[in-house]
Amino acid sequence: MADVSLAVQQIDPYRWRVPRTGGMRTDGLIFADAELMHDLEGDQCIQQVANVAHLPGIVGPSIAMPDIHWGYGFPIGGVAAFDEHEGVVSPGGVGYDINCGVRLLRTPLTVEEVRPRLRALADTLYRLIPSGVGASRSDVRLSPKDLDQVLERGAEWAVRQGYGTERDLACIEAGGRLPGEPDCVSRRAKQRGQDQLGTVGSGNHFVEAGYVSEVYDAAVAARLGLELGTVTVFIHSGSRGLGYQVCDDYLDRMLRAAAKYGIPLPDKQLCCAPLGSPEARDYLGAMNAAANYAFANRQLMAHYVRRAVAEVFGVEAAEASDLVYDVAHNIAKFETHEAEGRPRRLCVHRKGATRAFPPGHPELGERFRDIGQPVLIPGDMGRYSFVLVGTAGAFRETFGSTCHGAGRRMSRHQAKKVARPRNIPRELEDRGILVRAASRATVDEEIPEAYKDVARVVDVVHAAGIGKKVAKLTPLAVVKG
Amino acid sequence: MTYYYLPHTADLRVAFEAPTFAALLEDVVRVIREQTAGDGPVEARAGRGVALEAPDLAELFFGFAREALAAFQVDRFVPAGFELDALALPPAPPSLAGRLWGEPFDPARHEVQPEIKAVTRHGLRLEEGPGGWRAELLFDV
Repeated sequence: MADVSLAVQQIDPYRWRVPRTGGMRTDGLIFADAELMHDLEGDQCIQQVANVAHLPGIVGPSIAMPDIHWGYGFPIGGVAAFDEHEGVVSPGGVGYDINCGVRLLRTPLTVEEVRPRLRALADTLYRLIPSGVGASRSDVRLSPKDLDQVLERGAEWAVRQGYGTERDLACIEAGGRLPGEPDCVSRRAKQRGQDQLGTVGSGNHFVEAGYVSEVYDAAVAARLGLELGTVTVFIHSGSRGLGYQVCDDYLDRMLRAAAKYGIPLPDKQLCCAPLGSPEARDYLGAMNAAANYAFANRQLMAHYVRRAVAEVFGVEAAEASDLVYDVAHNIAKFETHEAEGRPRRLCVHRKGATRAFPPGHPELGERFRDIGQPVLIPGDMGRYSFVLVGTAGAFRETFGSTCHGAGRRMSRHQAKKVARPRNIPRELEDRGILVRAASRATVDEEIPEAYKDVARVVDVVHAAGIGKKVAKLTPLAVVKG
Repeated sequence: MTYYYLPHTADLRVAFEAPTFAALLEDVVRVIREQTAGDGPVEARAGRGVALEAPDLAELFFGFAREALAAFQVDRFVPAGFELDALALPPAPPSLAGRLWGEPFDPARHEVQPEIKAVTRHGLRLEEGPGGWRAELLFDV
C-alpha cells in the first residue's frame, strides 16, 4: 500500500482536500461535515482515496462521498474518472457486486390502508422473493441461451418475458441495458448466475416496504408520485454470484495486465488496464453483461413485488404500482463531462456512489428531463431512506455523482456482539417495522446502529449542492437475506 | 484457534497465526466454515481435490482461500478440514495439492450466514517469522 502523508485540509464546511503527494497524480476530495470526518479516524478509507489518485489518466480529483467507508482497493463511496485515451479501467473501482443498485416502486396505497394488512404483505414478499446466501428460484429456469440473452439485453429481456412493462424501461438508468458481451463472461460465472435471477441475496441487500413520511420538494415529489403517506417498495440488490465471479476472474487478468503495461499499483486490488487494451475491452464487456444481469434481477423482483401487492391488496393496486426509478451504485461507464475547459469522454467509476444527472441532461428520459434524475438513498432498516434528484452542482463537481447510502460505522463482528443479547426483530416490531429474514446472523449484523445516520449523509450532499432532497421514506416491513 | 478478527467497518478482516504453512491453510478452512455454516458441527463426509500453483507464496495462500470459498459459493459444499498431500515452498515454484473435506450445506443443521462475496487481495499479508507464520486476509461481505 502507498504510504502518503495524509494532511487533510478543510476547504469549507462540506469539502476536504487530500493534497497531492508522493506518487499521487491528483488531489483527493472528500465531501463530509466535521462529524462525518471524525468518524473516519482510524479507518483506512482516506488512504484509499489517495491510492486511487495514483492511477494513470485520472481526470479531476479522486472523490469520496459522505458515506465513504473502508473498502478494498477503492473506498466505498468513491468516484474517479479516467481519460478514454490515457486512463484505465479497474474492476476494484466497480467492486464485486457489479451494478449493485436500488429500485423504488410507488404503490397507489396509503400507509393507513396498508398497516392493517402489513403482516400479510411482509409474509408474501418474503415468500415470493427468495433471500439469503445462494438463494435461488425454481420458477425461473434459464437455459444457457436465455442467460446469454439476459446478459445482452438486461431489463429489456425481463420485460419481453412478461416481467414488467415498457414504462418500467423508461425509468431505469441506461434503460436497463448496457453493451454486455456474454462471450466475455466465464463458464463458472454463468453457472453461478443460472438460478439466482429474481433473488435478493444477503448482507445489506433487502426488499423494504415503506411510506413517504416527509416531503421536501412538493412539486418534484408529486411528479414522482411520492405524495405524503404513499406506500413504496425499495429493492436493493445486484448481480449476485455471477457479478462476484466476473470481478474475481478479471482481477486476476488485470493483475497480469498492470504488470504487462508497467502500471505501478499502490494496492493490488487497484489492478487495472489501459482503456482501449484488449483486457479493458473484455472486462467492460463482461462488466456490462453482469450489470445487465443485475438490471434484469431487480426487474424480476419488481414483478414479484407487484404480485405480492396483487395477492394482498388486489390486481388494481398492483397494476398501478409504478416504477419510480432504478439506479446503479457500483459501475464504470463512459460519459461526457466538461473537464479542463472542454468536453471529454471519460470512464467514470462509481463504487458505492450514485449517478446524479441534472435537469436537462440528454441521457435522461423525457419524464425526468425537467426535474433531474431521481437518486435513491437507502438508510438502515430502522430509520429512513431518501429520494433526491441530481443537480448541476453534481455534474460540475463530481462527474454527476452523489452518495449511495448510510455507510457503516460499526464492524459486522461488533454489531453481532451488540445484537446477541437482544431480539432485534422484536425491537423493530415494537417500533412498527416488521422484519422477515433468512438468517438471524444477517439481521444482527445489520442493526440500525451499525450504520451512520443517513439523514446526515444526505444533508451534506444537499448542502454541498451535489444532490437535492425530495422526500423521506420510513420503513414498514423489511425482507433481509 | 489461531485466527482472530481485526477491526473493519464493512468487511471481514482476519489475522492468522500458525506454526506451519499447512496449519495456516487449516485455519483458513475454519474461518470459511464458520462464515458459511455458523458454529455448529460440519462433518467430513466428502472430499474435493485442490491443486494450485502461484507466482509467490502469498498468492498461493490467497488462491487456496478463494478455492475453499468457491466450494461453497458454487456447489454449496461447506469445508470442514483440509488434508495437505503436497506442498512446494520457494525457492521451488509455490504449489500445493490436497483434499478439502466437508459436506453439503444442510439448512436443518447449519445456520445461514451473511454472504461472503469474495476473498480480496486488499491488505493481503503473509510472512514467516521465528514463531511460525502470520497472515491477513480481507473477505468482502
